[in-house]
Amino acid sequence: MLEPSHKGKTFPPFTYTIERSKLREFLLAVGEDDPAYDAGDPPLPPTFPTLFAFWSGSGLEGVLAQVGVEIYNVLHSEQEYEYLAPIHIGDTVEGQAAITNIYQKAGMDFMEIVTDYKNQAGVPVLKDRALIIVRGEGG
Amino acid sequence: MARYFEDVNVGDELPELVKDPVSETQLVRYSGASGDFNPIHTVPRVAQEVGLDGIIAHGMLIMAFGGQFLTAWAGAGAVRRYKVRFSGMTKPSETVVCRGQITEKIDEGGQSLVRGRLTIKGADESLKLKGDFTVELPRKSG
Repeated sequence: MLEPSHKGKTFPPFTYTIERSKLREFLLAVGEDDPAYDAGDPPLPPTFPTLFAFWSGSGLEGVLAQVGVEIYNVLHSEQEYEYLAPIHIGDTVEGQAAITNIYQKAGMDFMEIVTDYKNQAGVPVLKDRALIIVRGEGG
Repeated sequence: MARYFEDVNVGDELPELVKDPVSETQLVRYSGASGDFNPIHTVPRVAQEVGLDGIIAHGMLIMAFGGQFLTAWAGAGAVRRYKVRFSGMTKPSETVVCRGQITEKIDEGGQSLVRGRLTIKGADESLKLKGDFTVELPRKSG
């Protein structure tokens, strides 16, 4: 069972710089061929921010390590992105994650993690809300 | 071709997006692109050790398909909010279909927002995820 006292825990800020080659890699992986993403200053695909945390090493994996959970014991239940301002190639975003809720439902442990991102000018650009299910030990 | 706020009506269906079958190579590619190296998506032995009968696609890859579906309709950069709840796993060689419908238009305070719902299902109609979204569309004038 997840320790309820982890609720409210915040994590050190992390940064990620958006690169065009990483955007291309993402588009190829998804099978997205919209020429809008070839523009000089293209918008980012809606779920591109997924990699901010993974590639910073301080996102979900870091959060899970802090609460003693292995990533392969985690199921992703819900994901939400709220886009507050455009993010551009070359921007460095800073994310800060917090455990905003921990609860049990139907015999399963749920943990909500909210990560707020701002750009290098300090402007809020993105809110990332993930709800994960932690599977029991030894299942 | 831009899609305008004035041309959208509550109840409109978005054009279906039928994706190519998910492949093992795609899951390797997506792991590298996203940085999500959870081995249940790429290493059959680990997937079996945690009780799966083989590797499964990243939920976030399926959500990305939904993002492609939304921007194909609304335009790249138009999405303001996108939320999904994951329901079922997707395995390599599965084909998924994205469908959606407009549920609300918000035309006040200079806003031109459109809300809707989407589902992503397998070829056998098994639900992979469902979600909702908000997009901002340009107006024809002003």
